[in-house]
Amino acid sequence: MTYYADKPYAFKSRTPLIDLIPDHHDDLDASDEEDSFYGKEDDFLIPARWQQRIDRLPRRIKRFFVAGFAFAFLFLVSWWAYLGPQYAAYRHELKLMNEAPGMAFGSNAHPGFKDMIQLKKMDEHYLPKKGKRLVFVGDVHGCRKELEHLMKKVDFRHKHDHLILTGDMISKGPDSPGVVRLMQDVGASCVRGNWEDKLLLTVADAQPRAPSTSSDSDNQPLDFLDTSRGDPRMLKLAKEFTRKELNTLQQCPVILHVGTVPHLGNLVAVHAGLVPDIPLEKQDPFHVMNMRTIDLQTRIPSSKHDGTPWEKFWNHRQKKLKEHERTTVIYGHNRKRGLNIHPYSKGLDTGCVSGSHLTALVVDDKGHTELVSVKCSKAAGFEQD
Amino acid sequence: MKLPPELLLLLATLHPTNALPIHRRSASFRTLRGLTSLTHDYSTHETLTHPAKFFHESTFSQHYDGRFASTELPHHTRLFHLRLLLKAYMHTMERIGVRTWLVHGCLLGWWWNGKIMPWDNDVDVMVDEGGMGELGGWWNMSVHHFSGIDLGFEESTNDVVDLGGEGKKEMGLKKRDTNHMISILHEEVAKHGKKYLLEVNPHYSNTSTRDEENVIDARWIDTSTGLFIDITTVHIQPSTAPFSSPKSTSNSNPPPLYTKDQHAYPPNSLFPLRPSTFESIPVLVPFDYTALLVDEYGPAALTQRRYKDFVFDAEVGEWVGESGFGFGKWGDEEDEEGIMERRRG
Repeated sequence: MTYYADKPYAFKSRTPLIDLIPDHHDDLDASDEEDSFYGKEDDFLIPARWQQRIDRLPRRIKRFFVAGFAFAFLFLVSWWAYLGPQYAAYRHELKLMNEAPGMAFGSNAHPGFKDMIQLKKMDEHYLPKKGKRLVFVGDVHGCRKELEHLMKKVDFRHKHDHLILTGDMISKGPDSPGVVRLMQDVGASCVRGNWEDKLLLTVADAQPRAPSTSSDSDNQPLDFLDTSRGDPRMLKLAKEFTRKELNTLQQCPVILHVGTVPHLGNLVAVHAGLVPDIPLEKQDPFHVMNMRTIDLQTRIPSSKHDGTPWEKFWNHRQKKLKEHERTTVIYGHNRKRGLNIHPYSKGLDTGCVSGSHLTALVVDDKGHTELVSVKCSKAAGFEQD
Repeated sequence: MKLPPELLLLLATLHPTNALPIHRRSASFRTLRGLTSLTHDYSTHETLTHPAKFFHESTFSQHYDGRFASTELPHHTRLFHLRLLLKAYMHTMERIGVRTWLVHGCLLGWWWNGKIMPWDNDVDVMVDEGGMGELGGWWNMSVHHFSGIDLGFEESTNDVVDLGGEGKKEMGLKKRDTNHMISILHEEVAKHGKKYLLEVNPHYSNTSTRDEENVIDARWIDTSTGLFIDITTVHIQPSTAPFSSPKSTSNSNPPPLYTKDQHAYPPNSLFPLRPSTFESIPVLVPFDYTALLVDEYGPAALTQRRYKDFVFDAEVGEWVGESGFGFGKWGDEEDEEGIMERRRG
């Protein structure tokens, strides 16, 4: 490169003008052998000092940084879209279950119903003592053969063991009167299920208004039902029974207070469920025979499937009580949930009539529980809950 | 065969009367002379505005029949008369063999404590289609006389029966007053008994919900006070698939039900009915009573123990007036309208 200053005497020599144009050869140093050739161009967005610090970090950590940022972003999005609402709902549910609302279901006192026993206490001598056992069986629904099979399987001895049926002994299945006769034979305890309830009410409604004159008609089938009133299917079912068998069903209370069993504490049998914090005698009988879920805000139970399951609320509330005040409920009714065992609620409806299983909960004198089930054959019947 | 001319004449008149169109309006005041104690009809005259309407309310309240009432009753005597009204009605239906059950406000009262709620001023019941046919075909315009003994009163009036027990809740003067009032009433009813008129709306056979002016199918009227029971029929919804095979119909659920005042009932919510008691009277209530109440009045109706000036005392099982005497707002018609709105809505 030639500069004018390098040759002070140049003006004396004739230098072509083109030589005076600087060519910047040294400035334009774009050798690909130097690091800076591959370096990032400075876009002046990050201050140089920061850039230096970032540059000092190893590559591996820089990569983690990006991955971490992506993870945080993903977490935020999922929290916002799913986890957050879930957690809030959980917190809300817990809050509702913990605090008693000022105005809750169950403070009413309707006069109750004719021909319906709300609460019965089981005879104490049936309680498991010295080899005696209690056998709870869920919704039998007229499956007499399966019930007999199950009793054989648990080695049921009439003198020592006591059978308790948790409602819906009848209808849908092939031999409803047979189940009732079996109940009579072994002196079983029972509770009133929604099907017993419907059948007995239909019979009472279809009854001629003049009471039956002959008292020896106890073992005769019912044939004087007024067929214009009531569901024809129920009337058809009713005609399979004798008056004595219907009386046996009539004696089933809505709530059977079984009593205290070691290790299990206080036992209660119902068909569908109970509302916590309401005494047994004030429980609403329709819901005791029909509930599946409960509204935590108002504590009004419902027979619908969607909502908070009543047994969840029940177990939560029992844990808040003192040990000796807790109650364990043995029930059936909810075939969709099937076998549903929690510390303070035992759901036993395993859908025998639809060809699944018939399950027994056996409680021995030490308070040990055992679940025994038999396979059911598919029985023809009409499908309805 | 020769018939006497009088009989022939009678036969001749019978035919055209049968062929006459149904009455537009409930029995006229003129024809009820002798049954009513009034000299003047207090019904609203809606001949022009509502020409198709059969039952009319009184000019002063929609809970009274203007042909038999000239004024509203104070609440104590109203509850007294309502109980007798219901008792006589239930008794009569039992004897006739018509199946009837409680609905609406009455059912809510039953749910809370088996009594008419103190702010309620009517009674609602329902019958099935067969029952309404029976009432319309055989019992229209029948007058049912109940003597004091029939209504549960002894002839001797020395023992003052406190029918409702409300009298006890009040204090001092008020209590003595009401007790006195009740005892006078008691004496009167025991002596003369009561007459009830069963009047059927001929539009009961029209099952369309478009017949909005005749949603009440019959009335059971207390001829001494003008209080009445609204009787509505529950109809079976016509099947949407008329040509379905008989096999499928025999296996499916019973059809849904409805009433002309646009209440729909799921198939298994009403039947089979449950026997219970209301005001110590044997009654029937719908099968799934809570679902009906929640559907009609909302869940708060089953949980709120406070309504208007009343608080439900769970210990006693009674609605108790909150503010001492608690009768300041009894005639609060605006709130009554509110309930009616909710009920009808």
